[in-house]
Amino acid sequence: MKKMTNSISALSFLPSSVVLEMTYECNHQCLFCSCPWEQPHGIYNKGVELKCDEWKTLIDKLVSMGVCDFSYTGGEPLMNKNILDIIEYTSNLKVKFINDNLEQIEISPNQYLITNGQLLDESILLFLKKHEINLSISLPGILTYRHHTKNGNPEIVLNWLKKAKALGIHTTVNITVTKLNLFELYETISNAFIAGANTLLLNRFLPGGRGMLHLDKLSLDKKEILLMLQIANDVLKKANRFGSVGTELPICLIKENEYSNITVGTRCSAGIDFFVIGPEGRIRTCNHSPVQLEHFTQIEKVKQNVYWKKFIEKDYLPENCKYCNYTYCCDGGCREAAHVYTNSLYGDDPVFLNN
Amino acid sequence: MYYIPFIIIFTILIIFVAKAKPLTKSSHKIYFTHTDLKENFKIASDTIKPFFARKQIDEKLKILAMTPPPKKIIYSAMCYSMYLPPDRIKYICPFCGEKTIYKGGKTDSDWQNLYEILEHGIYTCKRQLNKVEGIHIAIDESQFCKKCSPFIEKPELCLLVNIEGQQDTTKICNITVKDILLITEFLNNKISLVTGEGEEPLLDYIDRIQELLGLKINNEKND
Repeated sequence: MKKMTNSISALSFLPSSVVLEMTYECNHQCLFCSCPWEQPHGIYNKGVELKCDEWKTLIDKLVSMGVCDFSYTGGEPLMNKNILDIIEYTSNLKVKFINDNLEQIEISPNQYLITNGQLLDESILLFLKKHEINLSISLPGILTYRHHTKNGNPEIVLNWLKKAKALGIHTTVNITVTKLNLFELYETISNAFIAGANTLLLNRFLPGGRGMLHLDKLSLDKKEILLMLQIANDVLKKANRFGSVGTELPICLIKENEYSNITVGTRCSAGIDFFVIGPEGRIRTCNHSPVQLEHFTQIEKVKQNVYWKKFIEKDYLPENCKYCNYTYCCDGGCREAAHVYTNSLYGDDPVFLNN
Repeated sequence: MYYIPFIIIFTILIIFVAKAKPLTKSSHKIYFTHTDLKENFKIASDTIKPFFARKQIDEKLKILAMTPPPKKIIYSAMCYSMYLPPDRIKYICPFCGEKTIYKGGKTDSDWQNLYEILEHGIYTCKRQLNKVEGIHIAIDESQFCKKCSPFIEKPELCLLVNIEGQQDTTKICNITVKDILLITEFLNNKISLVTGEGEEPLLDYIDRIQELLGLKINNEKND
């Protein structure tokens, strides 16, 4: 007798996680900013930002389609004056979720606020605590913080990490590593954990957005990327803490090394595990991508979008990786960064072009 | 009466200051009272200065290491695929675009095979087949979609082969990633298959290659 395989149709084709870019505005001018609308002469079409009610309608739609993880970013999400109202609205929703027994249950959405921290205050922290929002704060260096961001103060970030810890809010320190701040990476990560960060999200600088103007200054070569991983792992090991790298790396770069305390991914999950909605309401495969797909009001059409399908089917392997024996577990590095840098989704990861 | 202009100016100034937004503070709705804030932020110092001396930092890290690490939160919106526990996996159909979720037991071998196929088998097969030229060869994954194939109880990956000169397309199901590796290496004129387990001569698999390609290969020695 044929054994039945336990399976169920998902609520929709959408990934369970969404990144909502709440505004184009930002109170920083980061050199490394990869927001596609910041790219000079870029293809991104900056439409009118969604209003509060439109965001709520969008979130209702996503919840009905089984999306259960919401990350709020931007720009700087706290520049959207309705952000707390929207977060509170989402907190009161129930998402239909398929659990491990393949039963449909209702759960509260998971929410994450990704911010530079400069506009936080005590009342916002209390709000985050009340609604169990996970907080991710950017810290691109200490001595080089202001050079990278053109505004703000790293001590403010450290203070918020300390206060968030006191309140029991889960915090992630989000560090973008560039050629300029690599020298102080040990100190940056350490201070973030000493202040109270729970986990680390390490992002290597990738071409895109405003960063396209500063490629030579910021881009890391292969040795520097390996050094970045080694430093991060060293600090995490000493602190008995864990972290992860925010974008996938080519396996040929890292396969000789083992990292006990930092997770390094080698496969792209854009369009599969998460997707992005821009401030104007249009869908993208990932936050690095400048390619805008359908507006959220036409969300069902996305599943047949040719560009979206390339990500679902992982049809983006670089030509130079075609004969590699590791294509079963590696996508040849960050696809959208390659796309932005080489104008081709099948281009090499920028790390191969920086040596 | 001479003081009236001063009163007017003073009033305007007060209105101006009240409406002015501070440059660094947000203008969000107030959710908590002063008492709430006072109660929850009984922290002695509002400032924290970063440490720069390596020795001092290492001492602090050592102290931190004595505390247990926080519970891991799986942050789904990272750019790369997180490793999911192998008792649940999703499949997205390239034809209809819909998603199917599968669940199995970790010790169940049928589930392990299915997991392997869905986790990286299908796209590995497609990438391997991209290396093959001059022959119509493709995989059929339609059995994995609950919407396209609602009545399939045990989905299998199938191979479709059409060689020039043959009338019909050969379809063979229940193929594995190794099967695909065998035929791609064979069609690329290799004599052995190199995998993580070592090197094996393709001759050992000639019957299977023949079956997969739907043709009879003459491998008899000439005297």
